[in-house]
Amino acid sequence: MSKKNQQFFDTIYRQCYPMVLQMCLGFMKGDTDIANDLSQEVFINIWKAIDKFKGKSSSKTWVYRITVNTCLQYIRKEKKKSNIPLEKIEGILADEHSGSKTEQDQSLYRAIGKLEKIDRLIIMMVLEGQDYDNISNVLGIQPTNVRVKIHRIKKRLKKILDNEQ
Amino acid sequence: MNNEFDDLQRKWQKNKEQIRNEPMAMDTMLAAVTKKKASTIRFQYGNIVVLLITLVVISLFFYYIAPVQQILSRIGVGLMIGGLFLRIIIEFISIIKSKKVDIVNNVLSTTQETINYYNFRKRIHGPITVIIILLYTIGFYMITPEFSLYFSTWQMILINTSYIIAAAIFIPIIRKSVKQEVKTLHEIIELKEKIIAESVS
Repeated sequence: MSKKNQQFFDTIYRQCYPMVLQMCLGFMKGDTDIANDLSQEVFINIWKAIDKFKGKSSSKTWVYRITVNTCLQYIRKEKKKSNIPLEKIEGILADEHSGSKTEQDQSLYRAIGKLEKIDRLIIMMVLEGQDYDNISNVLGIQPTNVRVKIHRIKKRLKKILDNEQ
Repeated sequence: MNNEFDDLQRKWQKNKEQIRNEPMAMDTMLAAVTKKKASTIRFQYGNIVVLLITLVVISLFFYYIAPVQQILSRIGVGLMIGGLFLRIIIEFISIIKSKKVDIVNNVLSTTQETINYYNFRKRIHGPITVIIILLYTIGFYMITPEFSLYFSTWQMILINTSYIIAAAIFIPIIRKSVKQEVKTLHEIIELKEKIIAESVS
């Protein structure tokens, strides 16, 4: 990797790590260990694809695409490959995170986790403050269709949260 | 509903800030990512390396240790080595195809590319894997008549039994992995239908 790309990767990592980890947490129903592993996978994919970034979309939209695709690919990939032992360091990291999470935070992730996989990712992009155009760019469907989808997902999420209370 | 959603959004952003305020955790994670990059590449080519080593060992065995003389045996060796070679070529093609699944594309395109990849895997697992196993087995049993000239009966029984045991172990493993990949294919097709179906309804 060239020095320029290394710098770009570092910048993306600093800017997007909280977003990526949180989306992984929501996708994995608040399981910190798996979410850490998955976010590592996302950054490995970003690292592999860094040469392909042409700047046609913003770097954030680009990271969203990789994050969403990696999450959707992750479960089937994990079924196939043998477990790579997690570094001891990650255990410490997981403890740090789980220690800082309140029951309320976990319930948000658990509620999101009750949605369909693709719906989890869409609603998390909405929670991230992404507009319909950006979400449609990530998904590859029309913005008007994204609007319909989001409306339905919000209704489903409300129902889940109401049932939990 | 909007107020409730705004609350969720605030909670979401607050959680994100908590993560951002743990620079130590970020650095540790970056170190783990760097370490894991290498093992990912090793995993991808691991299968090919194992198959290549097997191919080399078998080839050396039949060249230096047990150079068979009869035409039937030589064809048998050819079938065994040919089957393995075909398998290695297919593994290479499989890696090339998997690289075509571009994670940078939008979800719909990536899903379609993944479907194409798993359809290819399904084709390999179906007739091609069966043909390779058959080639290998036929090749193996074509060598045994000549082997029986050099080995005692009990040694031949041992050789044949070990082959059957190996087949009994590996065939269920292969079948399980085929079933898993077909299941995965159906899951991805379902995912694609979900992305499209709801958006046009």
